[in-house]
Amino acid sequence: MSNKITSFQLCSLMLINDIFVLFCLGGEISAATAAGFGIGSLIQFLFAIPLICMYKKRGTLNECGKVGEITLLAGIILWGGMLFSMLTKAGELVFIPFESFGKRGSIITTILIAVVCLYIASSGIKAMSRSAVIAAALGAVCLGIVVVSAVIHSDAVNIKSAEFTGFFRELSKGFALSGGFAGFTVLLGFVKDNITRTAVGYFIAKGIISAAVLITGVLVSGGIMEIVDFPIVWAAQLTQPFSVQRIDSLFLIVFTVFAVYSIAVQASAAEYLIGEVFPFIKRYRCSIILIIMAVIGAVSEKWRYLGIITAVLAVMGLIIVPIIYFIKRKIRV
Amino acid sequence: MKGNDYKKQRIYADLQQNLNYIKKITGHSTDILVNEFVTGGIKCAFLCCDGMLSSRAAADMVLAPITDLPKQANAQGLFDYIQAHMLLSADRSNPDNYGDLLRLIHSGFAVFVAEGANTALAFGVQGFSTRGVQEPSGEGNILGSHEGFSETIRTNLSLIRRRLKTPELVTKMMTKGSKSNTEICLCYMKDRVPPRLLDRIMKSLDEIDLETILSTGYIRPFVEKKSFELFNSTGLTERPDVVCSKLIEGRAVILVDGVPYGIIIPRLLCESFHTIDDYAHKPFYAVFLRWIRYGAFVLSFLLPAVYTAIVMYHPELLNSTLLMLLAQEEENAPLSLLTESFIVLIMYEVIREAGVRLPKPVGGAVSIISGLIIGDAAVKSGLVSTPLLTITALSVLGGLVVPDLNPQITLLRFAFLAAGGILGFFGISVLACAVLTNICGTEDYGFPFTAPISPFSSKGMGDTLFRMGFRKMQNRNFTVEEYHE
Repeated sequence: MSNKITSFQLCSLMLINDIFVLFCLGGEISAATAAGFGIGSLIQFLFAIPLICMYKKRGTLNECGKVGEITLLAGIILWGGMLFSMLTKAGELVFIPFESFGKRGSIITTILIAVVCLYIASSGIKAMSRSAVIAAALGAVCLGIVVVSAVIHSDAVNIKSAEFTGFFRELSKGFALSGGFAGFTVLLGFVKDNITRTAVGYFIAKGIISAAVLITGVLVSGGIMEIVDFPIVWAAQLTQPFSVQRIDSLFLIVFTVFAVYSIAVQASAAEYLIGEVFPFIKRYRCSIILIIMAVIGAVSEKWRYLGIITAVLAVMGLIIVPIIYFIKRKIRV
Repeated sequence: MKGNDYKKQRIYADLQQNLNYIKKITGHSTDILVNEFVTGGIKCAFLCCDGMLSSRAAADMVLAPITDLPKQANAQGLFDYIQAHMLLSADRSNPDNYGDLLRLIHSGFAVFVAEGANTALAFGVQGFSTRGVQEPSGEGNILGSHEGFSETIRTNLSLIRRRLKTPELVTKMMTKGSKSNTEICLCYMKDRVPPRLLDRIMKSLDEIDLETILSTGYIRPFVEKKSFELFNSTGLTERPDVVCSKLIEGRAVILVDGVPYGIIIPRLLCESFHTIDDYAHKPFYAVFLRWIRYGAFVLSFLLPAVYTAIVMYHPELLNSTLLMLLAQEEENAPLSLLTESFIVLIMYEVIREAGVRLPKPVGGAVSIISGLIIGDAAVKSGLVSTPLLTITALSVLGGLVVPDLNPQITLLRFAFLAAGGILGFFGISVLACAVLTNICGTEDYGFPFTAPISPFSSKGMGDTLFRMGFRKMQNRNFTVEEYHE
């Protein structure tokens, strides 16, 4: 049984990760943030061009040597840790029952998520990607309801109210939250469809969806941006389609499902890389990775520059891997 | 006689030694009848299993003609004469070892052995009592055929052949089970079935080394993946028309003697929601019914969990009127909602099990006791709230809409209830991710269980989410190979 996935499945996996990051996006956002994320996607696509060329020439990560693979692995594990951290921080706001238990609640939530991620990642990339498509479709429906109701409740004045925080700052923010690239670099090699079309499709979808979600967030919570921790979560909570009942719980479902798949996809990619880099580790690869990620997630609050390090590693992984591949190929020729 | 040593032993030429050996193997079993006689000047013996053959057919078709033969030089001459001049039965065999000989006797064949012959002659005159072709008990329909499989494999094959009168339909009979010698039959359309699928099924069947095969459950683990799968990747049906439709789609079907079900390989999840009536109704109505089934399936395992989660953790999802109503009802219940839900569900499972196991005449009493007395009394005494009982009843009814998936639905209902009751929607979502991955990971012989939804195939949607008309379907030429990954 081959482990090949379709471009649609890869895009679903990666977009779930990107949307989850948007949910957990802290601090103030403005129209510039949406523009920063949108244009950031375009720049990130330019960075990905050498990688696309590498896979088009039937290159593999194996041929790039351990430096590239270890860089990617480090990027993926750090990013996984950050995802755990984001989940814990934003989880309290979207009401995960255990979060009200304080630190103990966070630990229980993390363990539960990690166990499910372990199961999903160890089920294989095919099972994970197939289920991710269904999860993404269901998520899109729930999210669609939230967005439509947000649009109804939106106020254009909020765009002006939100503090304009400078385009380049927002662009760098978009980059700092692109740690999922390392996973993308690995998983692109599993795609059986046209690699270029897959990558182009993903980056376009990423840019559009990120911008749309952010703009919706600004339209709803722009006026109170100074007092909210997580603007997208707040936007979801402020927008209710019905007058007599609330649909916050729908957002909780999307949030949880996307959190699980975001972490599982990183664990799965890291598991593959561990197999390549440390072939002597035959068992418990996924468990080891998830434990490391969870620990990083727990202690990452104290690491001030973790986001930047992760983004740098991810982008480096994106560039270094094809560079090493092409240099080695040149030498061989 | 130890184990199966006798199976490969060649038949003795000495008649007395031969008969003694057979008696020894069978432990002088009273149902093995041995009658010695002389025909054509040669000492012979007629062997059969009491109750397995039709006495009348054996007497008229075999015994009468065979006991009146012209004189022959030796046993071989006698057998050659019978073979060349007498058509005693369409189903004939020449066993040369005791394994085959006894299998044929036990299958209802009339067997002749003769002095000096180290082979035997067997004639199929089976006449054991069987259940006739009746309406399927579990796959009811309104507009389609009302014939269902019975326990006799030959009858079942005839039901399929009557619907597919084409030389492309191939049936491969084999015997499995070292003690039961159960006949199993692999059916397929040779122009439709993917050759790789066929090879792999044959290899899987070769792995069977069981002593007995008493139901399809004995074979299914061998033709399904070894890893843990919540849902079966092979299907069961007791309808010959369903088997025919699957064969046309390039699937293989295994029939087991003594079991009124056929195993369909591979099976897809979406097929559990299809019925033969879908193809008899107008497409728009068929689509409506199909969506009802999809909805009922989701409700069947999620409804109690969602209700519990909403009432316990997410009451904001309810409008105020409904919230007040539920609060009032739950206020009087002495147990927590989660415990109450578990009790009601377990109560239902006990009643269901009792209804299935009890003799039919008592079944009515069970439904009266359970439905009227226990249900009514539980609500009136305040032990269980009315909304919870309604939710449980709806959920259970939903599960009955897709009887094929009932075992999985039952377990998932409990699992989701626990997750929803302890962790609210967070727990339901987390468990849903794991279950979804398990379902999507179910795959046998390279055919994903969740196809054509994921991996998505727009072509497959015509008979999954919708039901296109036959004018369009006739040009579709669909085979299951399209879903192979």
